[in-house]
Amino acid sequence: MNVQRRLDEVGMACSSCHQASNTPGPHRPPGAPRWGLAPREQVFEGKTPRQLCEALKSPDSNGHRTLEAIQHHLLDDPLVQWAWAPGEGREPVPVPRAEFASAVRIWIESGGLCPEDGQ
Amino acid sequence: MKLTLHVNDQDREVDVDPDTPLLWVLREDLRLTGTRFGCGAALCGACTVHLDGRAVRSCVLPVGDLGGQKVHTIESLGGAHPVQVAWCEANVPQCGYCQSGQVMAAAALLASRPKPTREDIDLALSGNICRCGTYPRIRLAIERAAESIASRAVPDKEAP
Repeated sequence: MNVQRRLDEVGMACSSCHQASNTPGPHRPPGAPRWGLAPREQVFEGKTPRQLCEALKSPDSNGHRTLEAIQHHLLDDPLVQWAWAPGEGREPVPVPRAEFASAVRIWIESGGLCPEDGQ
Repeated sequence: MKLTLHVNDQDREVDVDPDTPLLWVLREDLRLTGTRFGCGAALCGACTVHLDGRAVRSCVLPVGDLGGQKVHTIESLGGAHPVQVAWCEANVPQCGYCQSGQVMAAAALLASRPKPTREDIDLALSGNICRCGTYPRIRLAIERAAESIASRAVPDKEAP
């Protein structure tokens, strides 16, 4: 399957294959409520830590989320939580969920500051 | 569990485990065998049906998740759908196994985009695999079906 963003314009949607939960069996389509790709602006590759931080915080590229809403998204959204329960045949993300949650809280509670490039 | 499914414009009652993929209910319980099993993992597109008009892979869709959504299978196209007519005229199928999925994907494309570009066609059908390699004829048939639909369309306003 050649997954691309434009598929929803030509009669298919993410939910054509992705259900509200992981399809049972190894390497079957992963699933979570409101499955979808992150917007292009949130692609991590090639960004410096500062650029990534600014993209996360920018209302124009983060779904108009406040810092509080970013925290809710990262810690509570089932689509994000899927990363730690990706289904049979896939490895969870390398950072343990508790460690990730702690880092998010510290960052948000300290004002969501962005690092200088080179830090 | 007893479920009422809306399939091909009829209410159909089935008694199945709600985790059963829609494909098996269509084929085994409702005997609608035009929809094919290919990979069972939403990778090949042979099992494509329409759910509220969108192309979906029925092999990974739990029947208990359907709610009131309307299912249409290849049988609902009736044989004279512009895509099916174009398919026959272009002699698209070789072995034919994947073709009901290809036709359903094509019909969903033309319903959402009646005048698709070649790029639209390639994208929309990119998840439907044909091991006979009939892709050039599939593309040709979709272009012809689009022309057929456009020629039959009623103009918005009558000419003075």
